[in-house]
Amino acid sequence: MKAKFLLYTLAVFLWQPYAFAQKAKDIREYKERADAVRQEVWNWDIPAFKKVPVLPAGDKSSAIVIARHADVKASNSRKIKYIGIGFKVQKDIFYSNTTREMVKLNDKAALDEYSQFSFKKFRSLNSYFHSGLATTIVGVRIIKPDGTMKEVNVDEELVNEEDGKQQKSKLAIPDLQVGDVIDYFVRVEELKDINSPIDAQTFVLGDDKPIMQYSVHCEISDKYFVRYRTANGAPDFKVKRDDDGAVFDLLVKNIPSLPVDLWMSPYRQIPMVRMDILFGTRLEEGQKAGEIRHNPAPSEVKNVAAKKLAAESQQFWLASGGLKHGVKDLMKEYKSENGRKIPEDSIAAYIYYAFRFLAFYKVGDNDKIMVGHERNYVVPDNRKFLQFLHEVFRGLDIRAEFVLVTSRYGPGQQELLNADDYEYMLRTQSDKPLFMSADGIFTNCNYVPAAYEGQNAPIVDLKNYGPFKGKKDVPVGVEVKLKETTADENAQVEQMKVSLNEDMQLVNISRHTTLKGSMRLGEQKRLLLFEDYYEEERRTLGAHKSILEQLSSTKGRNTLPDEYKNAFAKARGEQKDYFNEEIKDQFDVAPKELQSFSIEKMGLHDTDPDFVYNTKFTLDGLVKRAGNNYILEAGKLIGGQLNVKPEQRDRKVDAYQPFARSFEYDIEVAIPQGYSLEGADKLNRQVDNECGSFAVKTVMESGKLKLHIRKAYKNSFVPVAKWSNLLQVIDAAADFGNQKILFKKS
Amino acid sequence: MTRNPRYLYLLIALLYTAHMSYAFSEEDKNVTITNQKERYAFEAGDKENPVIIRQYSTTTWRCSQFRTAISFVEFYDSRSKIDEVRAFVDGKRAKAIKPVFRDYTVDDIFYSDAKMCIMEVPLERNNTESSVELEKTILDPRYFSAIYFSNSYATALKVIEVAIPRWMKAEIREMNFDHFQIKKEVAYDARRDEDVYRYTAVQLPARVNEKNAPGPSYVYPHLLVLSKYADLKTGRVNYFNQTADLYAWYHSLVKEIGDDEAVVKSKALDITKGISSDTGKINAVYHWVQDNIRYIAFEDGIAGFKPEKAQHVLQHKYGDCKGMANLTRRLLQSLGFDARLCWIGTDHIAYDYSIPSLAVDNHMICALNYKGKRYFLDATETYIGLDQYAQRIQGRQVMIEDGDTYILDQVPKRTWQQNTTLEKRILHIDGGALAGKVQQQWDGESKEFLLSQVHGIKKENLENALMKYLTEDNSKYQINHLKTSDIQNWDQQMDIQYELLHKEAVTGFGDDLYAELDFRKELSGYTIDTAKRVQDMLFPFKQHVVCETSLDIPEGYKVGDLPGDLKIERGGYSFNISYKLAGGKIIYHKELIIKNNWLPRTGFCEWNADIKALDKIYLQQITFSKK
Repeated sequence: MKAKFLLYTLAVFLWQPYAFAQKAKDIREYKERADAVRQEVWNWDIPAFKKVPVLPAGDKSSAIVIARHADVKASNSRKIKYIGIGFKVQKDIFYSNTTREMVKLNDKAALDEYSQFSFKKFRSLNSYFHSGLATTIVGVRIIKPDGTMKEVNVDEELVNEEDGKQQKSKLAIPDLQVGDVIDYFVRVEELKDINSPIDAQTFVLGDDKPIMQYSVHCEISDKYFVRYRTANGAPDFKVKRDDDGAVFDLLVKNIPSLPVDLWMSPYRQIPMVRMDILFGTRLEEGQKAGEIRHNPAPSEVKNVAAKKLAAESQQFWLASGGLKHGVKDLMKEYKSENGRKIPEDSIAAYIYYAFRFLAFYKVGDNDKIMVGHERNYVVPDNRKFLQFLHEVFRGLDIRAEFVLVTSRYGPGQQELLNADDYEYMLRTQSDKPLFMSADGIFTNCNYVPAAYEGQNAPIVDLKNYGPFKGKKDVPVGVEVKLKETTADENAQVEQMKVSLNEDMQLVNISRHTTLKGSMRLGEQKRLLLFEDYYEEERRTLGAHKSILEQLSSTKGRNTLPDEYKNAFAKARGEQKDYFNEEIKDQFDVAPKELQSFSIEKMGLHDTDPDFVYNTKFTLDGLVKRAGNNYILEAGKLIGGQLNVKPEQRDRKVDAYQPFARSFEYDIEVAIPQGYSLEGADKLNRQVDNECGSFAVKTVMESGKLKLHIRKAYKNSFVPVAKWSNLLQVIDAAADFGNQKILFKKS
Repeated sequence: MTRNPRYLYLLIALLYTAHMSYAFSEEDKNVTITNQKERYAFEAGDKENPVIIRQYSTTTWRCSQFRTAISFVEFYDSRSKIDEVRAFVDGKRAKAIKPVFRDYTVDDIFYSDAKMCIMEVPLERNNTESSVELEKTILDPRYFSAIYFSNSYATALKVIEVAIPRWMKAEIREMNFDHFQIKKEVAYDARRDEDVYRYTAVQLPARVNEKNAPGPSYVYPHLLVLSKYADLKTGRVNYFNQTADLYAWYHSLVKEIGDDEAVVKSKALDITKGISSDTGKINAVYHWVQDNIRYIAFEDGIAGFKPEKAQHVLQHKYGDCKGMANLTRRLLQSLGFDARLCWIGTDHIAYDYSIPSLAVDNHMICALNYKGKRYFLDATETYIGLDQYAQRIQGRQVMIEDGDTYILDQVPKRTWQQNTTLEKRILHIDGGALAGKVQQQWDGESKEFLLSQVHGIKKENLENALMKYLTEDNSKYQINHLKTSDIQNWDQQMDIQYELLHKEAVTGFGDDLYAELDFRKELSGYTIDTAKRVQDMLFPFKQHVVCETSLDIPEGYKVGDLPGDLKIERGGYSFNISYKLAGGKIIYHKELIIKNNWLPRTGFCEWNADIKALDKIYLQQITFSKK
């Protein structure tokens, strides 16, 4: 949490393309400013920082935050006479953000966490559209257990590093020991033009360590519009108006450390305040300088998001021409290849897949050759993808509308703050509407990413909005509730034939795996080969030429087909490693030998959505000799099972699971010749409740032991009151993992 | 001086993880270096840098399968500079490709003055070539110590030329030339009055990146360049003519440190307050530096060789190995002990001080002469006791300061017995469980490993983490009444005792019971992939694992079958396992010893067969039949 929220002021400096030339004068001015800032911050009138309180004896915390204070100032630069280096240049916005923390370090882990800092003193905010400069000032004091306080001479202790054209400063905190209290702050000051955005503010009232006092103070001039949201039970600011604008104050005491790390959705479970500070008035975005809007109505956020979406869509109309033609060409090829047109009810889906093919699969002559694993992990820009796709649909007279979706791992639906809390999907307007998005490069048409399931999603229809249609208000239509998938729809179904090898040491497994719904995604990325899915997809779409034929058609000195052939061979050679990895992840042990593997169905289309593959391999370590008899660790045939750690069992918060899902195994175990089977009856068990189920049934058939095992997590959300039901299922599965059967010498 | 990362051996975790894979990606066959020429020429410089070395090199890459790009990286620092770097693509000068200069950053080093010149050069089509020309100047012959032949790509032809004018006295030593095709020619260039040493190597395999492998100076062919002295027009400039010169240079830096004896003495008295015995004082000082000075690696020009002032390290509470060694020395000296600074090359380096070169060492420790015995104190090893030594310095030659001269000695070697882990269990069968009392002990580097893990964990999670470690995350291995020795005291063995209930460790089928006594199965599955592993294997340290378990034969049962015994004795390791019946109990004894941490490649097949035999025993169960 700390890394994500508190130290973002340091982290955002990671990439900045423009250099700032430092001169001796700049350094001197920086130092003067830094001294002034340190004096100001150390003299803050916040009692919690003034004295280290007596801390509870026997506290086992690694570290205790005695006080944390965030101070935000946003004003018009006319108020600022001089704030340091380069800031004399006339700019329009002054923004500063200071986070000060006083932390008692109780062990070496905490000492390690606080013993080094790195930051950039100067950071250019110049870009094509914006200009500005940011400086970062750090102050550090150490309070020893006897109460003596020493300030670290930060400027003298720094070492500087060149990273390309940027300079980064690193500080190792001197004389810091376990038992000390560190009191430090990080101040970022920015002066920039009015069009440059101010960082979104998030005050998270929780951490992995207890916080005795968390306070926030913001002074924001009336040139800005302030919108903020108190979520998950966070208290509200005390707001006071003055001549310049408004002052926001918040004080929270005694926040315990955050409880668990399993199945959490922090945005929906941890009290926090999120705040946007936006310069000026933009009525079309519902933004009015001087206004403070606490907890904007969901309808307002929705309307702003719709307008934003519509505005963005303007830039895609012209740019989508080539893509429209590409899709049309594929449609023509389909017709000539198949001797018929695409059936009317499949056109929208065809266009989706054709567009996905053009966007993610098709290669150009000048592309970097990328045919290995890394290609599968490309993260698409979903919004751009859908905007282009929307234009392609428009060009081909297919009616489609946008759906504004929210993630279960983002802010709650009644606790939205701004348009960016929404993500987009597309939905066709037909009897059987199809939902579309690009979650990954294998996302099927009509697949709703699991994080959006069960959420209410407003519809935005841009049919009357676009070039030559004027810029009318964007109507936000009804909300649809995105369907929740069931445990059966997100399933892993395994059929396994198991036997022992001749010397009774290895287990031979012939395995047929089917992954359905959201269970597919990870393994598709891991196991699919570009060459294979390209070919399958272009055939399905009716494209005449294979990838190599297409590359051969390029004129001139053309070595590309050969190069691709070589690259394909290399990628194919690596595929075995990924199958080995898959088996290791599944069974918690690497296969002794992977004898064969094949992909039966790639699961690239909603009409044939399952990902199906076969593996044949041996596993070592599952058979134990006991005299003349052999014990098979039957429970391990379903792979490693989740063990809820002791500290996670007493749960006090709801559980956000990724999605409802099931795991089903049909396992056929051959009884070795000359042996009889004992203990199969002990494998049978059943737990079934509203949160999940785990059942094992065994039967002897034709001299073979047949096991049917099914584990299901029935819901993606489990309220804390029902946690014990879920635990029951998890424990039953974990218990089964230890079960054994005996092959007794006849 | 390049300092080694402090924790070389976190990889020991491997030993407790079954079925580790040594799969490394196959060497890149797409790109090869067809031709690499490097010329190093000694030249007279200026007053500040009397002798410099000009480096000219050209490297040509070729791709034979598909178009790609290579990253050209050249290191430099405050003692060297890149004068020019030019890229050529498919034979044409590519002016648009500009180098990027940046600091070299790596996790283990807080600050380094090493910088990188990086260029991304495309190979435009298969069967095309791209090349980079480099001009670089090394400003001081002291830092020009080694030239390696191998690259990260297979190299078809490599030519290294070293031009040494007759006024320059330098020696070239050829290292690891066996098994490589390297031809040497020496010519005299009369015009320049210089000897030109020309080495031509063909078919050099690519360097491989494998974990737990010997340092490059043991493996790859290279030249050590020993710059001894230069007879310039302005007179003789001495470099490292002999080891004494190396020491003299180090010593000159040490003399300039400027320690404040009063400050150090006051701290030493404070640390040893109330302690009367000498050994108590020595232990207290060593322990204090280990516990209170954070190790932070600095590599910064001359400061890479000169220790930080003791009072600064005291004030900062952090330092690198030099700063920590110097502080340890000064604290002990201020109490009247004979403590000295030592230079040492860890086992990552193949050389000793018979070679007068900066390439010989990479670490600094403190020596203590006390009552006729010499102890070596390395406070960067945070949790090791006095007179215990980490594998990386054991048996290594040390150069110990002795005024204007020096002493060469060796850090004592330790056997596996230094690092014993002992587990004693007295168990009985309780339903389907094994129950009883367990005692576990760790010493030496095993203890250091455990304590560094424990102290790296947040205090509130400490017990959970320790439990997780002891139970190997198995919820059926339940621990109660856990008692640990003082984890702040690493001068003694780490001792943990608890009551165990290992559920479902006993299975009943019909009238028979089946039990498994070995819970930890160290080294199980630790075979080495001989098809992939190229280099010898280095265990992080020597191991000694002893497990003694007694199990009461349950009432009404007799022992049906006992697993077989195992006795494997090899030069580098031994595995001994036995099951015995005695006084109504089964006594299980296991002793695994890694006597030599270096397992040569030639021993891999035997090792794999031995691990297989060990696994076979691990997979056997005890059978009890009803009487």
